[in-house]
Amino acid sequence: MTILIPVVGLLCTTLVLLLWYPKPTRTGKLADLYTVDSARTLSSLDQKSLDYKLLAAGLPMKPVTFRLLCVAAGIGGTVIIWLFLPGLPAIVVGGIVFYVPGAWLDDRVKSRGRKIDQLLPIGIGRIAAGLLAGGSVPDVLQQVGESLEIERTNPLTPEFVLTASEMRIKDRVEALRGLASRSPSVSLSNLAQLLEGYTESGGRAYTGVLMDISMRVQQILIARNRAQAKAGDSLVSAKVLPAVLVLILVYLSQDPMVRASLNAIPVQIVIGVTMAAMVAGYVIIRSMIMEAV
Amino acid sequence: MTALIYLTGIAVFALVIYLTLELAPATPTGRLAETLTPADGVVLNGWRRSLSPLDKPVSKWTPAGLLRQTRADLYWAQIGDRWNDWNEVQFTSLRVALAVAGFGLGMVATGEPVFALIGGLVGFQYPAMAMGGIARRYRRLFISQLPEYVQLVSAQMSANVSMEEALRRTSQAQSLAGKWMRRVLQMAQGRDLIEQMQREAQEAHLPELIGMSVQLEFIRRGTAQQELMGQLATSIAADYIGSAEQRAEKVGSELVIPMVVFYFLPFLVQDQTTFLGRAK
Repeated sequence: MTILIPVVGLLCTTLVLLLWYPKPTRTGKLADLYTVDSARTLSSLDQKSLDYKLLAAGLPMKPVTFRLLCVAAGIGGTVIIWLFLPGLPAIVVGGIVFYVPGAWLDDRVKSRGRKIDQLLPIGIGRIAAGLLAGGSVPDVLQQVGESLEIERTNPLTPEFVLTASEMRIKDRVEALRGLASRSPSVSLSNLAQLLEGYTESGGRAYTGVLMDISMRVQQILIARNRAQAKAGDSLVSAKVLPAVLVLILVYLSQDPMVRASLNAIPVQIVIGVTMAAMVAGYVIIRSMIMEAV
Repeated sequence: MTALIYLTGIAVFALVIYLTLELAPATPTGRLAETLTPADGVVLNGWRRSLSPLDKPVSKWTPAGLLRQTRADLYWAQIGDRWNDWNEVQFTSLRVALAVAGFGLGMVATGEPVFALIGGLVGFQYPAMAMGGIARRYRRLFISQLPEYVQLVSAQMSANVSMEEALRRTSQAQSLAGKWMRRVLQMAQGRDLIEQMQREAQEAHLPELIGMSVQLEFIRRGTAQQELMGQLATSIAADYIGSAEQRAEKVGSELVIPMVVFYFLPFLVQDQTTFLGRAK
């Protein structure tokens, strides 16, 4: 059993080196387009596929590698816990560790939509101002995208830049529909539809209406983001509580008699069920918080 | 304890007699059975077919309020493509069947009426909780997406598009509100769109939707449709902004029960088991 420790350590070191080894950084003008390329590639993939999720989450690896890593993490988790608490709890922990990367990936994909929602009020304000000042939709989208990029890298810029370039080379309405269909955020999809209406109605006469509606949408998004941030505070207790309870269990297991009882089958079943219940509880509580507003 | 066994026996006997004598003759059998199925009748299969003998007594004895609530929950679960084709009576039959199964399992496993009752209660409540959770999720998602959807309709109408056409165009939206509108449009084939929307809103049992469909009816009758629609969009946005803050504040209290059920109860049970193991 002890021989497994160096083996696991060696595997982990290799993995860390592979993942974190410094890669040559792309610089120059073309570097900006890589994100647009990602947005274009994303639009051609099925949103439920692992390829899409990995690309949307910004993980540069193949689906097979990710699955293998999940399996390796599950086995690693089981082996490590087995050293301290052999039996069913170690297998349950292995299952949980196997499940966690997938859940984390799903969350990263969803967070792309959430990040877009957070930036969208600023984006809408700038688009409305740009159109009111007489700019064309592709130019305004391009400029707003670039202005957002100056502040920090974000997932909204490639969407705007890609749409702007598509509007220049093909049908404008088609390009906006493309944005609506590939958008990970419902609000961005609605904005695309709003701009489609603006383009179809000929622009100018519609600018005042667009300003009014943009302002209302902006207020809705700001209120939603604020409420989501407020609801998110409760997530701290959902994370801390299970950790505290696990620490109490670890502390109690210092007692030799308690430690001995941990090897009994009924106790192991109960510990395994408790762990699974806590993980399920965290997932449920988290989804309740995320979907509250 | 002994009396409970007799009582359970009598209840099961009465149920079997009722189902055999009252319901069995009503079910068409034999080769002609297929032709006797009503034109609009759905051919039941799987669970719903097995539970169909319970449907008649359930529809007769279940309180109307419970059935109405179940119907509204099923509506939203079906919007999310879950529990498709189930109706409120069939779902309640499932709950009753699971309650009986839970009670029976509890009696067999523990022999204690209290645990059997708990088993029955869990069996009765679990489907409602599972389906209610899905319905609640989609209902909330819909409420959060409705204000933006109404802005889109208002924008379309401001571009001199008729209300029906605006609703038709905006139904292409990716949001749940757009999906709901596609469903309304599909159901409104050959009927009045706004009336169908009101019917769906009543089915959905959602105050925001009922209010909106009633106001849309007023707007359709009015002359200054664009202004009225703009006002409706403003008021829906203002309502949402006001209520979003309140919902965020409520979240903390809503989490108490899941935290007790998923964190503290399992921990207490595990703690007790460990110490019992230690004592042995």
